[in-house]
Amino acid sequence: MRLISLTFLLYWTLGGLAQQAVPIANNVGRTSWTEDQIKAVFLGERSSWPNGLAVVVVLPSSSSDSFEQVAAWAFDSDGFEYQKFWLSLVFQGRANPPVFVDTEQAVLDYVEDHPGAIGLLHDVDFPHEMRLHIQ
Amino acid sequence: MGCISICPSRILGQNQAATQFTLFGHFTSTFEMEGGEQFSEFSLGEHDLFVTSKITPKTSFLGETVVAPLNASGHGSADYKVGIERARLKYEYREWLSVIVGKMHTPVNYWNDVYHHGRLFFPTIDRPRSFGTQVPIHTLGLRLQGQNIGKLKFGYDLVIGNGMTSNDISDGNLQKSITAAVHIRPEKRMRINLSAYRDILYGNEAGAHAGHASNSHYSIGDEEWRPVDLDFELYCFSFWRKKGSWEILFEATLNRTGLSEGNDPDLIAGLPTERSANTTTFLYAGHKIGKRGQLYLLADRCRTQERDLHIKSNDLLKAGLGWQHEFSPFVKTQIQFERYTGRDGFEIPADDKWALKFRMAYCLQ
Repeated sequence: MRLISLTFLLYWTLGGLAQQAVPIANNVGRTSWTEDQIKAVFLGERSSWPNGLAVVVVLPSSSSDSFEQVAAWAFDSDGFEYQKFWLSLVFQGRANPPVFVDTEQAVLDYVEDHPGAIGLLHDVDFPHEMRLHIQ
Repeated sequence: MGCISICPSRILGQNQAATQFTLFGHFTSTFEMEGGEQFSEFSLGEHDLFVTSKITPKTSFLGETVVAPLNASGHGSADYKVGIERARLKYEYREWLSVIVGKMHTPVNYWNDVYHHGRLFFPTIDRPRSFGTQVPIHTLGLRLQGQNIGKLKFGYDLVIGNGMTSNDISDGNLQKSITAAVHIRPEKRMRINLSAYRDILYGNEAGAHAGHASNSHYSIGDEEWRPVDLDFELYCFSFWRKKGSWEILFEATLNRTGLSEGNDPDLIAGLPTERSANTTTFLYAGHKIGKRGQLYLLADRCRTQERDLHIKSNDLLKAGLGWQHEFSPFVKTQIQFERYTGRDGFEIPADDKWALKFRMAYCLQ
């Protein structure tokens, strides 16, 4: 019984981790942030990092499940509303458009190659040093 | 969002430009009843080529070139005109300071700052009436901007630019318009905006940036019109909030216009010396029904005093009930039932009109 419980607990924990939003970034000058601060980046509210580099938000394709997950985490809404939000924000001239790539793996690849870039991962392994820790 | 890119940004280095093109457009159909007469039309509205380009990591360009009906509010527009509505270069130093130069939407109120030509974003089919009477829609000049500062997400915009009597290319005098606007965003989906705008209307004319040529004494060809210089002040308040299923937008403006110093005494003889105090108020309230539908109400009132030397006096009211449906983030339709009325006894007679309008707005990427 204990073995079954342990197995279930392990499965549940790993499954949760797989779906957990993990922010990653490349050379942004600080690794520890509050959740609200990271969410604000995904809402176009931050234009530069503490080290002066420009913020580049990298998002997965709007037709992907990952995009829906980013929308739910950062915007408390669905991908439909999140797309409208970004379209409007860019139209206002108050933020630069995010970079869209096809998959979460492509998000990771882009962030790895571009200092100042930030993405949100759920299902992809990534180098530990890229992780932004949420306080 | 799958924007069309000249150069896919994933293959670009940090110092190369990533340019995106988006097209906004709309199609409108109207049926009106006024004084026993009926009228209907289908019309193709503004088509807006919207361009953004990231030139360096901190420098960007934003442009809007609009192909618009020559007589957008008239019945039977015969042709189209092409205009550069925005062309601005922005350098972002930090959140609290960006420097913008070029032609921009004057950030006096929420509507002009957020929606302007983007019919896809309009909560109602038409702009508030303040756009036909008071709001200086564009400015060509220099802007300092800060946003998302502190817990209240404070933002400011300070603009110095060519005035409302200037043309689209240049101004030709030393006097410049000044805009000072501040806003806060205490919640993710809330914005409160306050602004003040000051300019001199040389020769009592409305130029390219005024946006209110249609009912000024000058453009109507009024015999009483005098080419005097006028001080023009505008104060705006905006409140926008989205909470749960509800969305509210309230816009209010106070405009004061009066004779400037230095006018020819012969020219101003007999004219009122006291400044006018004109107001507009606009209220939109929408309630989401289902996943993509929204039922909404609007009320829009415009009052211009008789002593105003620039705009013909009026007291007009418009109320409406509408339904919006979004097919995708890039296509939506609106159908709106409107009643136009007002008070008589002013230079512009009270409306007595009913209208039914349909609009499809879209965005191509």
